[in-house]
Amino acid sequence: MKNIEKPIGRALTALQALGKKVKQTGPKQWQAQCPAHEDHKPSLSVSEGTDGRLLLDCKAGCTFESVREALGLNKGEAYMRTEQKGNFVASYSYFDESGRLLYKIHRTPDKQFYPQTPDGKFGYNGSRRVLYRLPELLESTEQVFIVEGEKDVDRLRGLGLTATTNPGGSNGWRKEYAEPLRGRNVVVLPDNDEAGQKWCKAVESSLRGVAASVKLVELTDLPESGDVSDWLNNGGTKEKLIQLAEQQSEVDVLETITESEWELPAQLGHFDLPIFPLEAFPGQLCVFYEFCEAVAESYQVPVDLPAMLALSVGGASLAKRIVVHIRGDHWEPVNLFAVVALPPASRKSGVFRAVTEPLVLFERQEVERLAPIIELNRNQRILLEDSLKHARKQAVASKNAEDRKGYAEQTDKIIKELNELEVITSPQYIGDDATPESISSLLYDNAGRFALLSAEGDIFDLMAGRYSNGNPNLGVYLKGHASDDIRVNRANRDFKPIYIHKPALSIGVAVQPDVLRGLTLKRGFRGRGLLGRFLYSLPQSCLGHREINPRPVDPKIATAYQNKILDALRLEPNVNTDGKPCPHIVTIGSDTLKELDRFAKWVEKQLGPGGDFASMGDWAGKLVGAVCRIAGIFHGLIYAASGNPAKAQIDAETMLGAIAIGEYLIPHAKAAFFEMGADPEIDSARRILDWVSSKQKEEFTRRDVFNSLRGRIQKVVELDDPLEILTNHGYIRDVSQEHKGPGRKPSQKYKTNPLWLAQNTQNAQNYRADLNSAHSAQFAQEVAI
Amino acid sequence: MIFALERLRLLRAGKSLDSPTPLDIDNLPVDWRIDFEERVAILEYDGGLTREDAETQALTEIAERIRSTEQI
Repeated sequence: MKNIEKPIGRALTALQALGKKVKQTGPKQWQAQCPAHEDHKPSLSVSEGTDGRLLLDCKAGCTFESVREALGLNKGEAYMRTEQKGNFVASYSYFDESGRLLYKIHRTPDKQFYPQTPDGKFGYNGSRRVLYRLPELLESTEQVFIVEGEKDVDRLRGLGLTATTNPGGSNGWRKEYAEPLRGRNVVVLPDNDEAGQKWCKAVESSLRGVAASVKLVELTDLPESGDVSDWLNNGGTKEKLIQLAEQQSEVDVLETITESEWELPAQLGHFDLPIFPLEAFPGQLCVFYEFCEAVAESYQVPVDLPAMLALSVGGASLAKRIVVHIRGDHWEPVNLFAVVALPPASRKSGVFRAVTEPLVLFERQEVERLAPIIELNRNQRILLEDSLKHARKQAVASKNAEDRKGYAEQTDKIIKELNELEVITSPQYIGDDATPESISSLLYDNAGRFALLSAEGDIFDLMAGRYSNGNPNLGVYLKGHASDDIRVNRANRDFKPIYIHKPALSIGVAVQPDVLRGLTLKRGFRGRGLLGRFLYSLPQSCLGHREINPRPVDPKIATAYQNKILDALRLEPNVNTDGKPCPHIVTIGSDTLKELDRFAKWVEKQLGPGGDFASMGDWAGKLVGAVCRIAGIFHGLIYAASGNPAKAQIDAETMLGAIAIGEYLIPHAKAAFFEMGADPEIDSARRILDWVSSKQKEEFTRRDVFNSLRGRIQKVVELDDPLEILTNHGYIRDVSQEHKGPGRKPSQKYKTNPLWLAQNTQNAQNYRADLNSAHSAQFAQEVAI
Repeated sequence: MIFALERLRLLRAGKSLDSPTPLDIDNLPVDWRIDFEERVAILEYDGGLTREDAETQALTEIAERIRSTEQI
């Protein structure tokens, strides 16, 4: 009975009396058919607060009053969301010059603001930011009051004044907002707090040389954080406000900027990236989980580095041994291209040694095993070549036609034997530095598989044509990834073309983040799909947080990992009906395929216009294939020891693990494409920062920047957006003086954020110190060996 | 996203993949995470729920929205 006295008790009783279905979904939470409309499925969610008040939310959109009344609740006993996003108390519409709605800003009771575009999506979603009530502002010729907040604008507008504000509150003023105020008399009314003062400076600074006059009116007798609405509530009037503005002298903006007002800038392109999900490794590969964790601990690196590299090594070990058949004509090989970006002195080389050790060991074993066979093969070839020479001599020296014919037939026979004799060379499965031309040879010599695994970023320079006068030779990488046949003309094989059937090139590299920058601008890298083939990981560096005496890798774990990779390397290929080697064909179970289809459907949706992948379709379009490759690697590693990985289908656990890694890779790829300069304005902004930092520029002009970036920037106007990005992020400030009188207007002048400059210098010194200590450590280790 | 890691956990817990995917707030993509935090704040501030109740309720709501948006 006691419960019935409470709002929740009455609400539940009312719902039951109305014949509505009610289901308790959690502690103090219910889902019910809404009593305010013909509800066929439960649309109403009811939550009880600690004070007994109810939060009601009808997802069908019923009004709060209608639901409250239908439930027989009194006012104050219940609350309801008025919008999908939250309980908004006000909404302000922003229009462009022509009166077209660009976005709305919704306000919650606790003064949180949420923009929403006309398509219903929350966020600005790329829409142009404009001042509040822009059409009215442009229509009026009166003095303009700039205030902090739409509520205040509407209050002043109600008094017949022209007023405006910016979206985004006290941190949201942008330089571009000054343009509609060009030539206008402006009065700035900041809130009575620190944020208001900073906002005021930003407004004044942007209006310098743009507005006809700028006056600052600091209203007195305001409470902390009080605004013009509070001032009006306390007896302020329109006339008094105009009088205060008239009494105020114009602001000398330059005096308002002081060094002490700098703050550290907002990071340019900061991404909150996930950590590699080690639990995505299938249960039967828990040794990979343990090994990657142990290597990360021992070398004090993020787990992403050994994990991404282990995937590459797994792919390289199974390359040309298995392929994944998805359905119909869709097949995927299992070789991967992976790149991890980490700063220098991150102990990448040590990690590479640990993870690639089984490959190196296998290669060494194979070299030893094949040495006598290679010797026999070489001897056989020499004998045949000598016999050929001898037969030719005899043929030439023969005096009668019959003998000559006999020697000629003998010569033909030897040539045939020579052609049929397979050239056995010493195997080389991995390398860390190879030109595209040598990769072709290595692929040919190693039956179509080769892995480029390197802790350096030289590979991208080689791809870009370091040794071919800057002419990129990307064919071998593109075909080597896709397993498309390669035809190469080689000078050292009698100029006969060589054919590499279904090659499988694997790449695993760790580079410094700087190496990624600008890669999209390298000829063919993006356009021909090279960058879309890589799986990227940009983990957070451990530098500065590393343990001095970490636990080394448990040899048992290292051996278990090594054995798994060796099993894969020793897996014999399948044999086709012609008796020739071919890969084992691994298929996907129907239930497992459902999971892959679900993921593929989601990816496809994001690839469409306005989707999350619209700007990186080259990469995301290959994501499902990459996931299948990872699933194939997992499956191959699990079943390699059996000698027949095709005996089982890829199961759901394996596929979900691969998809989980695919989902991990998505935000990393976004960050990588950002780093690689997919956005040219951001890339230019970065280059400006690099130049400012390297030259330690405390002040510079636009002309200085143009000269420093000459070649990359064609026109000075191209610097507008990058400089504005840096200004908005707080890296620089425009300190140009207003130009009066005749003569050419001087180049715009900027001041660098002294806090950032100092911090950057310190970081650079720390990097150098770290490099030195790493070199010393390496030297000490070499001496000890 | 199909929240594969969460589905993997479901599978490993011996549950059917047809059951709703349990979502882990710590693994939500940033956009959803912001929506979650925002909803918690509204439920706590406006709905008068305790922080714990607000988080539980917000997770239920966000999970429902994620499921309908992402079709998981």
